[in-house]
Amino acid sequence: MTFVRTIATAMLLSVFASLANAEPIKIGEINSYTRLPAFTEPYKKGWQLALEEINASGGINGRSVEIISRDDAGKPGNAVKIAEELIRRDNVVMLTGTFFSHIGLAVSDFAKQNKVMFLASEPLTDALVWSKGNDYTFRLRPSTYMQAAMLAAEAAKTDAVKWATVAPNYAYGKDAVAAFKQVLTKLKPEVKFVDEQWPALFKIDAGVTVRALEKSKPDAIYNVTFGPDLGSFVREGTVRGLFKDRTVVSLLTGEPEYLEPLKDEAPKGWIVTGYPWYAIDTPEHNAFRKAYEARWNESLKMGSMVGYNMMLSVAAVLKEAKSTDTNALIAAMKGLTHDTPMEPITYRDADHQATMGSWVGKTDVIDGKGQMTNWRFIDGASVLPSPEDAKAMRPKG
Amino acid sequence: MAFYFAQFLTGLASASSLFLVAAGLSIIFGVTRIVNFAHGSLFMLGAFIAYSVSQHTSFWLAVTMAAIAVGTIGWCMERGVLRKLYAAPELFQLVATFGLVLIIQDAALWIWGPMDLLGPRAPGLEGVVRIFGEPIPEYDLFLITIGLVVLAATWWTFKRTRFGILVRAATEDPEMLQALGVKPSTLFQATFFIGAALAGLGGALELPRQPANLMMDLNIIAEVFVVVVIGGMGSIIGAFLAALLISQLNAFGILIFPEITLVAAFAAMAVVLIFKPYGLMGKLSIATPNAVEIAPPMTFGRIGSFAGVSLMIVLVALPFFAPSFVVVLLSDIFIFALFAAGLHYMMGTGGLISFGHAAFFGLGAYGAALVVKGFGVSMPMALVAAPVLAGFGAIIIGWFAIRLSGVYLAMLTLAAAQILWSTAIQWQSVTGGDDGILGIWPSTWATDTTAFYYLALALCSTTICALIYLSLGQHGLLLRATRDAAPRAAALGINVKARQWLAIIIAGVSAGLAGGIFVFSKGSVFPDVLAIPNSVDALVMVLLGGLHAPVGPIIGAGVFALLEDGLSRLPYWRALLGITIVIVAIYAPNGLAGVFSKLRVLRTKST
Amino acid sequence: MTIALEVKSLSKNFGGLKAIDDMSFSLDDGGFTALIGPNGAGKTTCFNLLSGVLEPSAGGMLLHGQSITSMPTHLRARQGMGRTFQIAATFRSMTVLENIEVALIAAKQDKFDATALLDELGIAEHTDHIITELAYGDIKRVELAMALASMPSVLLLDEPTAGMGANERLSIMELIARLARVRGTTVLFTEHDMDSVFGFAERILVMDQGQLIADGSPEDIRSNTHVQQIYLGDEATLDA
Repeated sequence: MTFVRTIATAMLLSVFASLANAEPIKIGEINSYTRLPAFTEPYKKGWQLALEEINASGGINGRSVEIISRDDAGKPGNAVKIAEELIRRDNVVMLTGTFFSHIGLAVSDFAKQNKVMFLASEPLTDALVWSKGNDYTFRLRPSTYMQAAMLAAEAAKTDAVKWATVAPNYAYGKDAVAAFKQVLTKLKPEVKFVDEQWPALFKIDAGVTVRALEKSKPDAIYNVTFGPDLGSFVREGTVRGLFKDRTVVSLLTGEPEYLEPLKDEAPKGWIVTGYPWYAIDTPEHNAFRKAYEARWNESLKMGSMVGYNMMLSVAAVLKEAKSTDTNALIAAMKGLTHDTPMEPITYRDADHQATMGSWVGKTDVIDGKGQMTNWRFIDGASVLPSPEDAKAMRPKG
Repeated sequence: MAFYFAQFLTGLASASSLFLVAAGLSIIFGVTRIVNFAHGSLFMLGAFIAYSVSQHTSFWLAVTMAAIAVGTIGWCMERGVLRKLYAAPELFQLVATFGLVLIIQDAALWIWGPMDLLGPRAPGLEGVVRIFGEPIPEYDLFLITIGLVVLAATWWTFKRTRFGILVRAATEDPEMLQALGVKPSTLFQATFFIGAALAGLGGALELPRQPANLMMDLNIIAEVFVVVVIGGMGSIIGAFLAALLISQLNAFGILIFPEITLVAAFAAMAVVLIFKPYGLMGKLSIATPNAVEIAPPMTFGRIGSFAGVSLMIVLVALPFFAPSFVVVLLSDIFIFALFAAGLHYMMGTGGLISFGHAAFFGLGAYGAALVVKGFGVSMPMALVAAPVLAGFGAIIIGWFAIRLSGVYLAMLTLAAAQILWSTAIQWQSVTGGDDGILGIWPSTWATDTTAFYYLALALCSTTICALIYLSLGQHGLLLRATRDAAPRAAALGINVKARQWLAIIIAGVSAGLAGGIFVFSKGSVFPDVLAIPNSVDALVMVLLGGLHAPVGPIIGAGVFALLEDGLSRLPYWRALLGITIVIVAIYAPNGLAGVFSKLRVLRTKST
Repeated sequence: MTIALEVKSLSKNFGGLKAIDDMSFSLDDGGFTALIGPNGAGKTTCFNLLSGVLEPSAGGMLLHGQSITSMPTHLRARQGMGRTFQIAATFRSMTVLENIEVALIAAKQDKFDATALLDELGIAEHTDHIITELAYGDIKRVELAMALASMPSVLLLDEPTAGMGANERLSIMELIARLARVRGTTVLFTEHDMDSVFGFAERILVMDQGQLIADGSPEDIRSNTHVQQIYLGDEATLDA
């Protein structure tokens, strides 16, 4: 193993050496690495892998790519300061990254003001491409609305009429509930929302929340809690029988970041969005999985996929633009299509949202591990509003 | 009825687990007078250690071992760091324990990795029992029992054992300990062990309820502060009552108003402090130590003035030769220097500690952003609105705060900042909630980095100079009088409370202006400007620069910004920052200004 | 003679304990009165009530005929009530001169000759020293200087010569008495040292267990059997 790695490193070094004559293309990357390591570390490993592959295969237009990655510690003010530094001192040609929605928005606004392109990789807020969208910002990951819409479509197929919702008490939770309500009500006008709970983010008092939900006697529950809140919610809900004979629809819960820690206590039969990396069997994905596991010696997470795709998008747009000029990059980014370990994705001209999709399925426990079963891939394009509708949601001018 | 009884029991279980952690903090504060910010970190370590041990042995043994291990870690903390700070004013201890928070954060990440770790359920207590037909988890009943057992045990210990009597003596009158012939250090060590072990126990017992994760520390600490303050610092019964109050408020509050989760605890704390300034069961200790050290302002005479003028000349000339990112970084430093300078004024000159200075910074920031968005005014008007709104905030917060002193005052400011923070999140229609307010960029004439740099320099340096002038002048003299000996000052005819109120308003206005400029430099504002870490940053800057040097905030902000900028490129940089903070607190209690002044004295002596 | 300070049925309870129990007396303008009593008699509590540090449980007081019962300390000071503390309270981060300055600013006295006063009190050499560098006796003097600098009409002195040697005491007491006479200041002071009490006071109030048990000239007090009982064992001091 060490031997292989040494060889690989040597090969990489020789490639770098051959590229050394040309100045590398610098990309600025900002993320909340210390604030949320559970989600951002796999993401980092994803883009690092892609970066190594790109440079090993000769870089882009004869130049190698360099990512200057910085930690914003979860503070938007820091993120903007770092963005300034990246463009002024490090002369990066574009910005990418961010996890928290509000930091994504802050950097997006900065990008607009400073006329630099920003590819938001992870933030989920709809505002980023719609109500607060701008010319300079593009977003990779399927948004809150897209994922909620995928789930609402599944929810409409169930018999459940009385719904209760539980979501963390901050913007993402509010958006996720609003989007779900909107789409589900449209698909199935007879549904009623009988209760909503808003536990504080990462501070859920799961026992009382579960009991409050139980009190409204819903047919079904829509859950948006994640991370440590999800673990508490599942445990308290299970022991108190909240999920018994009820449909549960749950956002992001199928992502390994959230499902794996639950081990054999993962809920069964929940309808979730997620990433069943263990069961996807396509040549593209197999290659990606093999490379990732060889490079990092650990299993895939959703973040790994997002990070990898982000890097592929960066490479694709640089190749397409044949220039590092912001206007050329933006022009190239609009309508840009490239392959990924999933389906190919396209950055829509209308709202700058990528059509990256997600998997929807049911949770189950297999060999003592939480996994998704009966899953299928849903193309992001199929749950996005029409380009005209999307455009109408964006600020004018 | 059955439902409400069951809801009450569920609230009681939460109260129990909160009480365990709060009791430890309260005991430690009572005996050592240390506000231990790292108490939440001990709680988190309890959960992680219990997780690791439970992978090899039974859950119950894991819980016991975690409590002992965390007790030992607490003991080490006392020996290694806090012991050196007993003589220091409260502020230094608090900042040092915040350094420990950062160190433990990174240590836990290094040891346990980033993923949440779901521990085992408690063996034998996995099921539910039916009470009036409602399912109640057995583990909840167990937690309730443990809470009551710990309450009874601590109560008995305090009433009946020699150790307890000593602890009470230390809490009520530290000087009595000497009379009883007890070495305080032994008692302090034992207290830290027990307090930390309780936090560890609380963390370990939390394992069946939530996965061990890296956010447990800061999540619990704010809540535990609330409990200890509401209960009365140093009172065990008070901590129990407060934990009960907070948990039941949450349990029943969410039935009526589900969004209450963010603000309930802090609002309750503010209300209690207004009516019972020292908490439900708290008493004003006879020996309230000085919040800050009493010392004359550290000025550097002619050398200082010369350095100040030279610095100003360099700063004015800088944009002509420095690269633009330096110009941007310096604009940031000016803003933080002003933010810190206000705090420095009320804390250094006025002896009024604030743990919630971000409240004023945030009010200024939101004030500026809101008038731009709401009324479409231009930047200059917004920069007027920022300090005005912050000033109004300071008038209200200050009016409540000046009725208290020392750590209680600090806690009230913390509560005020937290209430504003949750308002900013909750009041989405006005503040934009977490998505914040975007697109607040400077007027066209100031968009250019150099122009903005001069704007920031002019506003910040003028205000900082005004603050220095105030603190060294007659105004500062009278404020220092209230800090040095409030009864003496009052007996001379000085309106102590009014002076303190004015100091808080001046600090608030300065921080508000800083917040206003900050918005225009970042283009956006989010609730994090009001959050605890922002308040702590201000404290660290003040401490780093030197509490008694009028130039302290400038040095502190500069060094802090450069440190953060430099360190944040390294892995595990938070631990490095934490270590720096601890070292400064122990070895340079007068900050960097103190170090300069010492070097000067040494040089003068050697020549 | 007009009345400078009048105390009516003043009481103060701490929980169940009666620290001050229905105390009434009045001080004539320009009088020099001592308040004595054994430890724990309530002298300091009485001072704290008069100066507004504590709120009375019942009763009230008038300063120059105006009720000050619910007036905060600093307003009483502005009405002319000055005081010193049993444990000298000074501004420890300041020089001696700055301490006096604070008193002058607070009392809006701009023509006061601070140097002369410091000279009289024998601490002129310390003018520019930080308080913490001074010996305790000198700190007491600084506090006294502050109280005097604000030109009070009624001055409460809580053990003004504690911690000083016998000769020093005498000179300080003489100085206080002389300044009070010149300025017409009404002085009420507590003291353990009976030489100071009997040597300078024109009138003596005696407290025991929160009550005023005797009030009269030094001669009256010396011959008061009740007072002698309380000071049993201390008779020698009383006779001195």
